[in-house]
Order: sequence, then structure tokens, then C-alpha cells
Amino acid sequence: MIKKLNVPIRDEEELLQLEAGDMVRLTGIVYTARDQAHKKMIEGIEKGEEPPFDLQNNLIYYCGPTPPREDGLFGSAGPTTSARMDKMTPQLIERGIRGTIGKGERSPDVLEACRKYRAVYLAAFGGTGAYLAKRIKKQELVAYPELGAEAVYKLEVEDFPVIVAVDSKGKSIL
Amino acid sequence: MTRITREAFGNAFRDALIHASFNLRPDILAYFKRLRDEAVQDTHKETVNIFIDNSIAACAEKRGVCQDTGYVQLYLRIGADTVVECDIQESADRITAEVYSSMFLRASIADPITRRNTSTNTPVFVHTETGGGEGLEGHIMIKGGGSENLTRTAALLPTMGKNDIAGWVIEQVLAAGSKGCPPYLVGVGIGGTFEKAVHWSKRVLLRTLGETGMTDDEREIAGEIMTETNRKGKGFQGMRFAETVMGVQVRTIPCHIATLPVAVSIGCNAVRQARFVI
Repeated sequence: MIKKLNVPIRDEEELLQLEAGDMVRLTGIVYTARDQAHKKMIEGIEKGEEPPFDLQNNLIYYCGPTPPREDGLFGSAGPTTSARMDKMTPQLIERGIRGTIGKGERSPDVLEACRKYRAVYLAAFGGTGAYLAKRIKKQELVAYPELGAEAVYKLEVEDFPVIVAVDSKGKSIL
Repeated sequence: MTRITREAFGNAFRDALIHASFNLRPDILAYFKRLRDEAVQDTHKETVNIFIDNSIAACAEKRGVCQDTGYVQLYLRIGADTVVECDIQESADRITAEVYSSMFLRASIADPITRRNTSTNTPVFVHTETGGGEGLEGHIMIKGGGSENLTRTAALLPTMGKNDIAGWVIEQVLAAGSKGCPPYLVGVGIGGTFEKAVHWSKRVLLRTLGETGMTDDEREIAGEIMTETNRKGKGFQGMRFAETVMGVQVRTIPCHIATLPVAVSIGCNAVRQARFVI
């Protein structure tokens, strides 16, 4: 069975009933951020600055898409390896992020943060960027344009397929 | 004597680069179709179908097979009595910059220290060898950063044998987990020098799935790696079905009596490549 999840998280029950291994389709808003955007966000937060988007109940997608095409949308936009963000993820979850989307295993600290703050880690399929880009209906540049593909984008997604890799109890399938 | 003009090289390289960017390897596409047909659970079938649909969308709509449009590696063989009348590095870089910009591919190459993007996806990493029949043969490989980060080397002992080598490779592949987009292609370079071991470990990823031609020793090592990684690995995308590794290719090269360099390279399921001949 394929579950649905509306994002950002408004109905907490929808998030809490997800179990590691479930196949889920996401609809709503997610924000892209990968290596350099994480570094900048964390440095900003440590200096007391506001993050570039409201972290509360939002999801971060580890993605550096190909450039926008004539239609204004990305041609290819799949997940990048999540482990590179492991050291920075618990701080963001602590500040309100309820889910991260990427590929590959996470560290024990990320699993613990998911359990403690009832967040999830969703695995998108690595190597399906063309398919996943077609599930993005709108995109808007939010922060760090100087980072190019690594900038923060607000994405409106529809029926975006993922697997629950770590559920809100901290259980992992990977 | 064959003379290859700047224009002839440029055209062949450009066509191959564009083909590689938007087409999944046919052997990998056939492999996915077989997995889909063999899948028992609906979610598994649906998962593999996403990969097949992805390759169709990439090809038909000129979308990168993966958003990580990689670094461009060019393997050239310049045959006997053949003259290339251009600066290969300059031509390859110029055309790569042009193709990546005009076809909306991601520029993914940055200064290692400042992380400032070169914004051209260059330099192209060129390897040249000479010999064989007249003319020029090129292979383009476009490889992503996720799988590149899983490359490993070891200085094993010259007293170690096939089992030790296979055992070390199996450990590295299992440690990679699902970070590099399994099912994987695994390339192993054994012997030579360190840089040659790494070079060949990556270069053999160009071989077609199931390609024969390995020596008995190479085949035995490849077989053991394939069996054990698939017995202990986490399967397709870490989802505990089908295979972790879709193919293993091994290349051995004579080495110094005091050494046994071994390297393993991992190709993701979307490793892209194309061949051209002039």
C-alpha cells in the first residue's frame, strides 16, 4: 500500500503513523539544501541569524538540481547522499525540521534526533532525477543564489515517491 | 596515416557526450526490465518501474538521467599511424562547457579549497593510451560524486591471495551501504601501481554487464565478490530485494615484488557512457 503525506507537516498523526519501510507519496512544499547551504545555515544560526526559511514542521530535500529549463523548472532533480549532512542534521531537527529527504544511510545521531523530536528520514530513489523533476510543479529561489545548484529552493511537489527509511521512533530500514 | 582534424574530433566527442548524458546504458535498462518482470511484491515492481520511466523521460525529454551530471572522463586510444590535429584537452573542455550550458546540465566541478564552481563542468579528465589499429577510439564516462566518494584503495601484502583480495573488496562494497545508488557496478584493479590500480578499477566499469574476457583468476575473484556482496548486501536501493551488485569486473596488472595495490571503484545504477570511433 502506498501512503500519502502532506508537507509541511500540519497533521502530526500523518507523520507519526509512518513506519520504516513504507512507500509514501509526498505532496506540498519542501526546501532544497545540501552541503554548502547547510554550512551557511548552521553558521548563520550559530551567529543568531534567522534561517532562510521557517524550519518549523518543514522538510529539507538534499538535492542539487540541474539548471531550470525553458519552462522554468529543473530538468533533473533527484536526491544526493545524505550522510554528508549527518553532522548538521540533528541541530536542524532540534529547531523544527520534521523530515529530511535524501539517499543512503544516516548516522546514529540522526536516528536519535528523529526519535527524540519525532521526525522522519525519507529515502528518494537515487538515479531517478528525470522522473522526480517531473513531480515538481513549481520552484522558487529562496536563498544563497551564489551557490548555484546548491542554493536553497522552495519546491512544490505532487505525488513525489519516497520510502520511509527512518521513522519517528528512530527505526531504520537501511 | 590517418589524420584527425579538430572538427572531426569535436563532432564525434560532442555527439557521444550528448548521447551519454540523456541515455541510460542499454544493458542496465535491460537489467531493470528483467528485475521488474521478476519482482514479486507490488512496491518492488513500482520501484523498479520508476527507474525505467526515468530513463524514458531522460531520453525523450532531454533531461539528465541523474541530476548529478557528473564529471566527464575521457579515455582515448590513439592508434598506430594516427595524428590528432588539435589540442585534445582544449577541444574536450570547450565542447563540454558548450554542451553543459546549452543542454541545461549541472555544472558540478568546483575548486577543491574555495569550492568555487568552474561553471563549465571542466576540466574533462583525459586518459590517453596509444597502439592498436589505425584511428582513434574514445570512451566517455560520466560519473557522479556519490559513487566517486566510495572509491577505496589498499596496500595488501604480496603474500596475500585471491581470497584476501576478494574479502577486502567485499568489505568495501558492503561498507558503501546504499550511499552510492545500488545496484552497483563494481570495478576492481589489482596490481600495477597505485594510480594504475585506481585507473583500471574505474575503467572496467565501461564493460558491458556480463562481458566475458577476464582471465580465470580475474573471473574467480569477480564471482566471489558478486556472490558475497549479494548474499550480505541490502539489495536494490537498500530495500532488501533483488541485488546490491549487478556486475563485477576485475583487471590484474603485474606489480612490484614488494607490493599488492588493490583499488575498487563503484559505478551507480546511472553510470553514463558512450563510445566513438574516428
